[in-house]
Amino acid sequence: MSKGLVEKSDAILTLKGVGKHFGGLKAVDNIDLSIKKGELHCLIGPNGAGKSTIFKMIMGVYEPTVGEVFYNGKNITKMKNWDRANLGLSIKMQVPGVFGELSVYDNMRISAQKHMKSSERDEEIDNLLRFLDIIHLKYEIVNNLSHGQQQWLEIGMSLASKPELLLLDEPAAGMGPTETEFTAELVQKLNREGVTILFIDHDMDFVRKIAEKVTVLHLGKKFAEGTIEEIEANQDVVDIYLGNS
Amino acid sequence: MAIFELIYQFMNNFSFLILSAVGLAIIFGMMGIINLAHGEFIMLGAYITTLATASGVPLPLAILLAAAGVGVFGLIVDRLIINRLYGRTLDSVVVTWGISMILSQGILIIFGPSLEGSSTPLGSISIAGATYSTYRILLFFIAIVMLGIIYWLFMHTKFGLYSRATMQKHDIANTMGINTNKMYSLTFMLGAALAGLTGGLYAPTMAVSPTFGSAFLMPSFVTVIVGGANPLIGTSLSGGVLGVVNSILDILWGTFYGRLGLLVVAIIVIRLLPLGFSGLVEKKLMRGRGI
Amino acid sequence: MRNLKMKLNTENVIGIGLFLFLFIYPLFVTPYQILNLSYFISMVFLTLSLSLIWGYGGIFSFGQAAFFGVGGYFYAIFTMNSGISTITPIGLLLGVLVGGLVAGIIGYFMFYGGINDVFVGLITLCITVSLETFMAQTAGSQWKIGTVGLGGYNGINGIPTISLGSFALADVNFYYFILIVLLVVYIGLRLFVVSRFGYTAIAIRENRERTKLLGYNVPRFQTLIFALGGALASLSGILYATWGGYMTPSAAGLTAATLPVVLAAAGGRKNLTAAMIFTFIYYWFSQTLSASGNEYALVILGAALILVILFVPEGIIVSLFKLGDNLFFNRKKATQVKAEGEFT
Repeated sequence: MSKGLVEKSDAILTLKGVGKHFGGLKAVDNIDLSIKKGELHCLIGPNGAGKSTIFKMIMGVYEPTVGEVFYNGKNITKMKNWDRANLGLSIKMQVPGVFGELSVYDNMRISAQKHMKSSERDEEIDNLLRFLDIIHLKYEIVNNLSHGQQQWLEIGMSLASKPELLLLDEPAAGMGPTETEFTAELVQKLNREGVTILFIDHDMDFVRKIAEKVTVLHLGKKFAEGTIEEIEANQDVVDIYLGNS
Repeated sequence: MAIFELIYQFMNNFSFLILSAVGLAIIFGMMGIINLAHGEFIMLGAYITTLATASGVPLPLAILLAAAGVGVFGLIVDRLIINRLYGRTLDSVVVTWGISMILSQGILIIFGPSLEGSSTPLGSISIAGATYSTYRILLFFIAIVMLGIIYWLFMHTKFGLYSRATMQKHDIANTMGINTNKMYSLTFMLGAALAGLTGGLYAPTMAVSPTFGSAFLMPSFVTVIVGGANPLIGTSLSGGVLGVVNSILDILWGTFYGRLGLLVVAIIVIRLLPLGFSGLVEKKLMRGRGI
Repeated sequence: MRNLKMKLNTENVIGIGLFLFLFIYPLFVTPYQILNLSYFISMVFLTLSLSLIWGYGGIFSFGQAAFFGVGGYFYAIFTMNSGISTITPIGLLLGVLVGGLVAGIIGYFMFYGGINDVFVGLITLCITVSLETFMAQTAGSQWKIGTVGLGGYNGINGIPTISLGSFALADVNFYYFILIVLLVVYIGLRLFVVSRFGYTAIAIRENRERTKLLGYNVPRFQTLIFALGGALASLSGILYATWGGYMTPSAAGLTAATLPVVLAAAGGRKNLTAAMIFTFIYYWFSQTLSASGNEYALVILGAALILVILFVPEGIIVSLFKLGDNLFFNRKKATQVKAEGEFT
């Protein structure tokens, strides 16, 4: 069951034997991961499985201790994080990465001005805010927004950078059912428009609803990979993760 | 003999760096507050010691009096002002600058441009044809003893345990029943008292005036920058390294290049180790424990 | 272009009012008062330089006084060695460039080295103190650059004023010259902070790591804005040197380094107009106090500083602007476009 309309061609992102060691602790241990263009891929795993650390290595916040990261076939292991962002990689982090003291418009502009001509910038921002249904909050200070609205704003900031690959760290965390529903639709809509999406989530209903492919991490290692049906049918996975929740 | 001169110079510079920096380092490392009035706290200590000795108090007692007096003063300043600024590093810079303005000008108004100082006690000793001040050699050992006492205080007392906990994770320490505000106040008082002690120790060696503290300002900041957040390991190590550099440059080219050398070392160290020596040592310790 | 439409609010009304006042001021006062105000204006550039890098770029620096000194000393050495008055405008421009370059080099080492926040403050403090210490010991005759002795603690005297052709800018002419420069710089900065670069600076101030992930080469922007601040501080030093005809180490020293911090913080560091106005108030106040021989001036100033940070941490003038907006312009959301400033 293919949910995306874009043809899944070559890998957009490849991790080869990537590991991150903090002292003797292997937070991520020898991971191979391949994300295809147009995919809607989910990382799951119990706390401490190394999911967020992988995101940080993809974005260049951490440098991997071992292994290499490729983006569109290009080795980006040692690339500065701002250069990665300019290649079309974008992240929405777990803790909202918005500028709380500034207005919604200011937040959007900071992201958009890097990737758009100033003549079309403000119109594009309005379009995105409409798409995210937060246009009425354009001049509100971000700290006054609800948690869900801040998450959407951050997705909006990512979109303003016209990303090819979007990393979402728990996009629906802390949201009510209606908000979660809206976020799920949003993520699917983006994916249909051609954005490759890799996301982390704990909410299995959410994952079941949107993910095409799921990778399970456990103790820093890749534990299983497959469609959501295969994963949920895998007794080992149920034991380490699903069984606990 | 050049070697004795170098050793003496090193002892002299090391104790000066350590003594000038330790109060600042404790306040910065534990509380994240940059106390720009640190030099003025040292100056206050020098005034207390000088005034006390002038009225007949023996010098060692007068020096302890300076530590106690400035410590109490620090506690008052903390309760009135600093405790409203915990966690606001940059605001604390501006506020402590205001405090230093009031202190130096206030002292100028009360006591005039300078005090009648006493001369350096204990005379001098002569090794291989050159004479060295006994008092300054004593200061070196006082600095070492003081580092030992601070080590004991932070590693072997309840205060030390609580304050290390507060430094690591202040919100968790709070939930475990440690009154972190009280810890901060005590830390600020301790840092102030050490500044007072330094002022008292150096009062007999320099002209005591409202600008007494300015001589300590640059060396103390450089030592803290190079040392990083750990007031004990960081400060000792950076005092040692800077002391060596400073002494060699002093002897080769004179005092000015000695001070300039401190600055260059500071810039190089922070370029290579943004967390100073503390960062380096902590990283090594983590590896050693296999974490 | 919606960016060029000016918003009616207290800040802009006061800003315009201030410049109008400054332009007609010489009609009513003595030459001595004009001279004083010229001095105040030359120091405003220094506060503006810190307001730019600290208030907008989030870079806390005690180094502005050092760049002030670099500018002043460079101008003195350059123009006095040439001895030709027509070269003075070139000295001014070159001095501004040199100040920017020196700041850029220092900034490069700091920001590409990952140094930030209070550590920038500490390093720049060390740099300022070293420069002051160095200049203060240059009294001997061996400390000469070309024919100009550095003069140690007493500094350099007899620095020429700026001449346009054969027309030397003195007294009222100098006043108007420096005032026009201020107006140009002020408008330039106001436009700058709503530009792309300005927005980037604000983003970096608010959250460095996040800004990197949005694709900005943060160290490069920090270095650039720090260089710009250095150039402005250098301009301040040059204007100061031409104003009095002298430049001393203490004018570029530790006390001078902290004053802009105090002025920007007390006035409102995230607002250029507020920092500028507070600088005028401070210099007027301190000169009035010291003219009356009041030794409590520094004590009062220190106390005022503490009270401002404790009770109006946003800054006095900024708080007054907000009050004015609420009273007269009935802006429900006076803060809504904080980052956009005037030209919304």
